[in-house]
Amino acid sequence: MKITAFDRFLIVLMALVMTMIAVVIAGVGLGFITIESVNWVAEAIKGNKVNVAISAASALIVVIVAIRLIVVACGGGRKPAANYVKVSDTVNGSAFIAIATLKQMVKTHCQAYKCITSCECEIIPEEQGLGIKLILSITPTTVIPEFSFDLQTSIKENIEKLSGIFVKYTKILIVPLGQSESSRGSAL
Amino acid sequence: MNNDYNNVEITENDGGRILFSADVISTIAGLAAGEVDGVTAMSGNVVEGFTELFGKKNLTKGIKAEINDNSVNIAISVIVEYGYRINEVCANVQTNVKNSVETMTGLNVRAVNIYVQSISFPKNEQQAELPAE
Repeated sequence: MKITAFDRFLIVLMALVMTMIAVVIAGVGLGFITIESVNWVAEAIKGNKVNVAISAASALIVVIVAIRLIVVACGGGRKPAANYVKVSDTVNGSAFIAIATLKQMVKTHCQAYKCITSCECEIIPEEQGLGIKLILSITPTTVIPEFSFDLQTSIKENIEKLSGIFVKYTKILIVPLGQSESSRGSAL
Repeated sequence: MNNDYNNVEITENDGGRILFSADVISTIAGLAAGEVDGVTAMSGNVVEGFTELFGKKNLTKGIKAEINDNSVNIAISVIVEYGYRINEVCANVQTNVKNSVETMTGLNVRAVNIYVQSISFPKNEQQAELPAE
């Protein structure tokens, strides 16, 4: 499993909990915290069912967090292949580009067309290249055959020029503005 | 020779020792990558970005150096400016980083792998222009 930002937050939280426990133990050892005060806390928890339930729930949460962090830590390191497309492979090393970056480039290119009112993009890594799927909403006065041919040609040229990656195909689905996601999915 | 992943030692012929950490290589690589036209910045993680909020410039942000024997593999995450050819920028970064690290440390750079994380736009140009016909 990949370490997410939430996992990093949990790591910080666990570190704080362990620090507090360490401070208490050190305090007891050095005499800053008396045994009586520790016993008082323990008695306060034992004597009240609500406190017992809260303590048990807190302990359970800490255990669950610890197990999750162990699973994540054992999950292996970063594997870039799924989210990156290879740009080049030379004697000096390899270059990769994030799929999100390619999407950003395609969407930026589509923004230059005034007739496109909304644009969604998907990048499909293929063998020795990539494919682009576009779901577009356009203004009613657009001549679709000319527009789509022009867009496919320009996107291919632009992405190939800027990234050096071969664009195998650019599929375009034109939908009415505001059409739901479920009705778009399988058409491309 | 010390083969610790964090430090590398080069023993000179006259018996003198040079010992330095992987952060040194990362710093050299980061500075070399930043010199290349088209590279806006290195792309770091949340922690690296957080430390920069306190005004401390992190020269190793987005750079990972792995040292093995007398050679090093470097992975660099960059943000490239829109309009530049990414394959050319990456090739230039690889060449510049390799030359800088090999010249300054004497290590053999086995590979410089580049990960383009994002594209940046110049502040006065937020929209792409259609390609000229």
